[in-house]
Amino acid sequence: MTSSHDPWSFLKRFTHARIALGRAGHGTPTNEVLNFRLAHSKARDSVWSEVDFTAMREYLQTSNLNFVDVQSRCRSKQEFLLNPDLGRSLNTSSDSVLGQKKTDQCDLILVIADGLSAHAVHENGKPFVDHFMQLLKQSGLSLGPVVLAKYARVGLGDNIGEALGAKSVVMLIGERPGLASAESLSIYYTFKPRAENTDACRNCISNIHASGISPEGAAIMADHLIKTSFHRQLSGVDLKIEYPSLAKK
Amino acid sequence: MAKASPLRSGDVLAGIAAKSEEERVAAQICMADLPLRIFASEHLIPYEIDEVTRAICDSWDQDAFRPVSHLTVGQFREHLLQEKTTDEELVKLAPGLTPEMLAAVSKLMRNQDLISVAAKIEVVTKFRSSVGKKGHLAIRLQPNHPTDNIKAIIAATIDGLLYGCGDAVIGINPATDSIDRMTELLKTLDHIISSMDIPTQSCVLGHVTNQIEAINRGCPVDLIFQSIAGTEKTNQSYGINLSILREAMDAGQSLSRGQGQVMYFETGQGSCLSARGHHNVDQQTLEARAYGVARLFNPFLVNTVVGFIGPEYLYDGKQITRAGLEDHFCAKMLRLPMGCDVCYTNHAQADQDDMDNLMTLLAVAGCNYFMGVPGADDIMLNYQSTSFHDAQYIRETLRLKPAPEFDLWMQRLGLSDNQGRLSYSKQLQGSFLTQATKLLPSGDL
Repeated sequence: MTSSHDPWSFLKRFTHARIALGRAGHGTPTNEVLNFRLAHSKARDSVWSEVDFTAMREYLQTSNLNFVDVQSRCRSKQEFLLNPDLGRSLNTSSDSVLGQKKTDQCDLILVIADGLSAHAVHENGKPFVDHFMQLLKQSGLSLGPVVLAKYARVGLGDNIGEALGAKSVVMLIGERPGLASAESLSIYYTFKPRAENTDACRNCISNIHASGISPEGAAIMADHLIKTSFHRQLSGVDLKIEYPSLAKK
Repeated sequence: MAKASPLRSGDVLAGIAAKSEEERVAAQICMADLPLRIFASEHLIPYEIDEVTRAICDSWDQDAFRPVSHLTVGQFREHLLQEKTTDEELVKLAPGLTPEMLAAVSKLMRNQDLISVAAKIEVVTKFRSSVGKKGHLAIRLQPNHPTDNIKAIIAATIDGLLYGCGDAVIGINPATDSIDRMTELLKTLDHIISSMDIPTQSCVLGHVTNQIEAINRGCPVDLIFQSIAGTEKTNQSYGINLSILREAMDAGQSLSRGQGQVMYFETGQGSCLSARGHHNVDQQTLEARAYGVARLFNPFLVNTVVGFIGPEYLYDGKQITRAGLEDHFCAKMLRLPMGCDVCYTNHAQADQDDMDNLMTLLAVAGCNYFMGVPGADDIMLNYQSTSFHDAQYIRETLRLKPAPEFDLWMQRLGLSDNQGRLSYSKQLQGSFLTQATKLLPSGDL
């Protein structure tokens, strides 16, 4: 042992911040350097990985859910990272595919999007959909096709909802990963989705991951959000929603 | 200007960057021959529509500019590099320089030029500690927590103090906009500083109007923080303008807790484009204009948060490094007490090695302070910065000491020796800990 221990490691119980790491001279002990690198590598891999939409399609098929694939105007991950605007609108072929499926009848569509973390969708996407579909059946709202969206930013959800003529849209999307949680998923919800909508029109449930909100808790919150929104016929900052206490954010 | 700027993704995103490497250099060759004085008369953003342009113009000191008024931009670079161009001359010159002149010359400068000219400059500010003295390097202790948990914040603060950090400020980014929570955090920090007699100052980095409200409620506010940018439109999107900043400065000074320098500003390239307030001007020039705003308020601390904004503005370690050096140079030339949050997000092409490089370069350039984040991992803002250990690395390697008052405080408590090295004495750390842990809300130990 060539590094020295910090005698205040008892303080670690108060925070998950990287405190009392000990030191080797003025440097960080080797195990802590490697711990940090491991967390960073997971976050990086999560940004650069592609979502396995094939597995997602198989899962939707076995759950008897219709689905459709779309892509934003981004053609590569690099373009997606460099140009947020391209990730907020649909490419031409996706736009026409959705145009053909436009119904004017469905209450809700579900968008599953990669965003900035493929791992978030892999880890927390399916369990959320499972719980959410059960709750949705009881609500009596009609569901349009599930949309699988590649290279998507949050704003793409509104474009998709508008193209399909849906009354509302629920979007699952991978968050920008931190070191503590590379698998964090967010849900964005809009009533009356329109391409020109701003953040003020949306509600968000974030931090859905193992040490944050559980997928089941998030499904209960989303269900409550949708019911409240349909009752009041709006979404966003004006909704001033209070969530059920079981899944307090 | 934009075409002459070294490549960065934000200017490409805005559609104003040079279309090829050759076009970029051609633009630099043209700019080198421009008279420096042209930036005093031709405004990149019209005087009539932007209060930042007005403030820069109206405060420009023509007499101070006279010694360099005959120079081209290229000659001005050479003038700055001359050995006989000393800090005494740069002090006198500063009121005659505009942010645009500095942005222009910086585009012709190599990284080593940005470092060597900045290294001539000493800008010292004072509150309870003195920051910026040659041979010293201060650190902002940043004990953020995702739910603003008081015990977690105190635990991270104790960790940082034991590593010799916190002499620039102990500054918390609050997780919410709540004024009640802000007042609670301010009282906690004030209690830590006063009960342990630490020669430093506190800050809770909420919106400036919330800090004014906290002052009205009788809260102990040391430094008043605000993010600022180089255009009126962008500042508007932050919910501020120059008159609100003036009001905040007056409110802070009215408490007489320091010595008149009460403002703390953060900036960063790309913020104007992100807020759609960029007027098709390149992000580095806009950043320099933010320093034009900062210098109106005689701040105690200013730092760029150089990699925080993401890869669509600064793509990788190379772009972040260049931006950090440009920002530090331009701000120091305007006599600002410039520090840097050397940082990156997980979707940028950068890692901790890039942070080591930029921190080292900036410390050589005489940067006033860096951030100290536990393990470099900010668990609230979800980005990586520099750590308490990194502060020790750079002080030890370049023989830099903490702020003088803080250095003495550490020695008095036996936390460091007279060379600024951390104490290995478990006994001394033990007595500090006994005192420090009394700060934690009771019932936990």
